[in-house]
Amino acid sequence: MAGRTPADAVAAFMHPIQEAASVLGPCKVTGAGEFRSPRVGHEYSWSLNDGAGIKGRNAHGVTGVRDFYASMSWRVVPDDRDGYGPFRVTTTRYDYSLILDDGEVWAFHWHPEGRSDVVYPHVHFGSPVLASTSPITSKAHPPTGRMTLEQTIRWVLESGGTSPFHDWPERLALAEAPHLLYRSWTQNRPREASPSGD
Amino acid sequence: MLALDAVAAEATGVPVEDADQENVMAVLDVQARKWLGISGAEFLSAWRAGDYNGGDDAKLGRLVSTALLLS
Repeated sequence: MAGRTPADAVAAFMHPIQEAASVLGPCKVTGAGEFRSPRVGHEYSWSLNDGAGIKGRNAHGVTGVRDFYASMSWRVVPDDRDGYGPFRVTTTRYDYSLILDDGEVWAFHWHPEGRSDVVYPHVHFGSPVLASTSPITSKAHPPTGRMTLEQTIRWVLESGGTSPFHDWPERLALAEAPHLLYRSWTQNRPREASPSGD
Repeated sequence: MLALDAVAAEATGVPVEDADQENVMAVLDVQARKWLGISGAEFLSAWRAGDYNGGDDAKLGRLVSTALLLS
């Protein structure tokens, strides 16, 4: 998201994240380092609730815990394109997962600059959703295209989660719209766009 | 808090805050013990030394996400 200053770009980046996270109930977005006065080009990260995620209970009377974790890494970059700058935030990593009791339901990952060889957006499925006869194992990395935080929250709610808001579809759509408008890649980030491309 | 995200915090009820380093370390310890059977300090040391390079699974991803909050 664009800002006149790096700090403004961070605030514009965080606002939709706050909107989307609110759909799951009270929580906080926690960031590390001097992210409020960011150095251009330096990588920062945020996670929900100091990394502890959002704790929940299953809906529909199903017992058990269901925890949603969300985290992103990002940088402020200069951008002189009309409407995109002079500064904006570009994401460099995301990690969203839903746990049912002690097993992953799913985990959406993108970490092109991390320590893994898997550099495209992908999903991990866990034992709660994998039949013994499944052709996919928990070690597989099926490609997904770029997943937004809002889309994964829709997955949480479609997986038996609850929202305090009856209009959560509209709230998520509004939060997601600016990102969908300005993002420059959908399936996999072009190699030539690294690291300042979005 | 940034002025703009203070407005967003008021509107959404979701604040943006500095990660509480002590709390993050406590969370990391719980997670590392639960998912890897080691302490948070052991995980942090091994991760920073590159012991998990090349690895990618859901549990490791969450631990790394928590560890990245530590300054």
